Amino acid sequence: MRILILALMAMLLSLPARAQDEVHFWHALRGTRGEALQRLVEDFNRTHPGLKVVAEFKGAEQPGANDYAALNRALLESLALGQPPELAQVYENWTPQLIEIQALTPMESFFDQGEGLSAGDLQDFITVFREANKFNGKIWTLPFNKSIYVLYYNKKLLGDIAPPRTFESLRETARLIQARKGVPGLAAEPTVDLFGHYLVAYGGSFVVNDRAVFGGPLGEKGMTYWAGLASDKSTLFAPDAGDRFAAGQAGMYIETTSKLAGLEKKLPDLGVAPLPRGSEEAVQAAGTNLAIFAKTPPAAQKGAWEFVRWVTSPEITARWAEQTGYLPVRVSAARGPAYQAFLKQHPNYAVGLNELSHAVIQPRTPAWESIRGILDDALALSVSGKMAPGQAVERAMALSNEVLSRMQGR
Amino acid sequence: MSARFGWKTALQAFCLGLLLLAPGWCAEQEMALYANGVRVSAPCFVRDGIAYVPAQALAGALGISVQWIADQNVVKINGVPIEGTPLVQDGRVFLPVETLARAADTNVEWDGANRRILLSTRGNNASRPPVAVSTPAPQPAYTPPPPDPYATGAAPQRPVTARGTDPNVVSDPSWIAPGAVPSVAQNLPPNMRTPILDMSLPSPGGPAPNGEYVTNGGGSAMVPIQARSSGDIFVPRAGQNSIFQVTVTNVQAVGNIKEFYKPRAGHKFVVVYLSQQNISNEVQIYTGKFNLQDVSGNTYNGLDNLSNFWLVVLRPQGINFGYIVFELPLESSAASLTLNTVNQPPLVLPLQ
Repeated sequence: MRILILALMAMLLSLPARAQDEVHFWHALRGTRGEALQRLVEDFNRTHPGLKVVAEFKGAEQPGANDYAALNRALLESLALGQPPELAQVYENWTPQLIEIQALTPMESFFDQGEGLSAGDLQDFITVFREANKFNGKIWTLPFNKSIYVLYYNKKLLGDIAPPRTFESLRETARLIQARKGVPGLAAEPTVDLFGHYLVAYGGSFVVNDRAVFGGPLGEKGMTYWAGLASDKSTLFAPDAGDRFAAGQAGMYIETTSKLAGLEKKLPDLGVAPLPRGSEEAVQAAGTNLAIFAKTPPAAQKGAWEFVRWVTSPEITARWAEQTGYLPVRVSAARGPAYQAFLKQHPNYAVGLNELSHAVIQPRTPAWESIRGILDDALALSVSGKMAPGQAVERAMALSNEVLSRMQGR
Repeated sequence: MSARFGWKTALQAFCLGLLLLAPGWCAEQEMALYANGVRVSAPCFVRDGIAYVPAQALAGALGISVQWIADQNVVKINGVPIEGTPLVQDGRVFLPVETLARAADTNVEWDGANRRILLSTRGNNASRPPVAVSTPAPQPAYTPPPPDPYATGAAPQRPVTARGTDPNVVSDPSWIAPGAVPSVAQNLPPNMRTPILDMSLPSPGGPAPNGEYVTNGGGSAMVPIQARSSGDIFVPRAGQNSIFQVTVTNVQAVGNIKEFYKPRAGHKFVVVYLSQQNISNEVQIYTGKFNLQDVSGNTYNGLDNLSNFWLVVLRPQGINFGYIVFELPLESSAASLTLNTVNQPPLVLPLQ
């Protein structure tokens, strides 16, 4: 018996020691954004002796693959094995399941620890982002790399043509650019988000009370709109739309502000305009939040919290925004003199910020990622003319409702 | 209780019975086709008093190879040309059930009471599947732990915006089509009949340039380019361990995805449509990773950015479904799909 205990102890001692305060931060940011994150982490470690954050890229092995799918997989696998990281990026639609399996320590449980976060600080978070991190009245996560969709345009190609302000004029403008310059007026990645832009701008929603509600007359109208742009030949739908726009081969491009820093480097004549409006102003926001994982060493969780508090502080979130094109997550950061001075120098960055007054968060149901794929297919079928837009939307509705009901189990 | 006959007698009764129907496609609710106990969803029909059955659709279930040489309009079963001329409708090859039964050494039974054609390989005991759809055995109740943050109403899709209002209002949800889900028939053995969920689109079919029969699928964002060597209609199949049931509802070889995504030179995409159900009584946090084995024994990982099979935590009875895209050499074909999870041996599903 004694020998057995000694043997067990020897086994335990031979396991690699894990620094109790080391914070493993799993993320899916690569390229410009990954480099900016690494600089941020190094700054934190330098200014916080005794704490150590290790940024670990858990995106896909190959560039161009789905980095967040890889991160999601890595997180779920680590949780099943009982070896989660202390800190990770999570989308709002991942969080409910993580709460359900008791994988997270609620962020608000740290608010009274260390330097903490006051009620005033919490109010300082941009409302739409703060509320998106609230589940059952509790703040479980905090916003990190948040962005919003804008209309990028090539000033040189547009010349005296004004950037469009409505979806009707977007189509006209795309035709005009095509006619004058012989290049696609608009370039866009053919994804669910295009469908979503029109949907939310006309007051629609994707999912309400666990039912898909994006179809019907509005869904058909929206899908028909994008199919119409494709049949005009004024719009290029392609996975590499961003590269083509950056190379000056398209007049306009719809993407989030997260691509801003990268695009500015490649396209000196870059202009940014608000996303066109429909019957109302409503623009989809994007990006992830930070979550602290339970069942990790308490000292490391506390270290993770120190990092979250620091990285979402007005000064650091503003710096993060300047370096990446993501939006500052604090009102005082956006209004602060330093960021305002930056905006004067870089007016393109102000456009997304101004859209935050009417930002919309995509569904927070765990079925959302599957529904995204279903609607990606519906959009591809519609813009390629292989299926009538109305039929494609209704098919997507039926499949989405099946996902919503079947995934829940009992 | 319907009588059992030899195949000749059965066919006579069968054809006689069907003559009373109007000629043309047999409506699914009027007559069903079973092969070795598995329901085959492809249509059959009666012409001039002869019952025709879809040859390729039966290939998988009967364990035979069916090849159609398009330019000669000749069908080979197990490599042997059959007598007579096949009928081709909408790209599908039909044979008189008698011809097929003889060439494939198969028993035929006409179950008049239930209006079913039952084909079975000699010695197969599964020729007479139960008529009633079985319901899953009752399992101990599972209560999800509170709180349930994505329960009804808890997670508005448009949460409170900076405008301070929740615009999350639907005035009239009545146009939501109830249960209008494209799905394949419930043609699995009764013990595997969980709901079949399938994202693939119906196929126009049609002969391929190389004279082989084009596999099903296509007419969609994904266009098939190459036939499997035999059998046109993929017969859904399922496998399970103590935790998961995996059902593959369709497999398609395609030349591109959504027209935009092309495989590397000398390659094709293989799309596997599947569902995965948690049949245990525990919540499953990690549902595992699927990979594909080809006929040469090579293993392939799925391409996440082209697939739609997002990993989620699965509660008991919860089902995830979608499709996974693999990239295979043109000359190769899918042999099996394997699910690798933690703490479970791999679950292997043959695809051929």
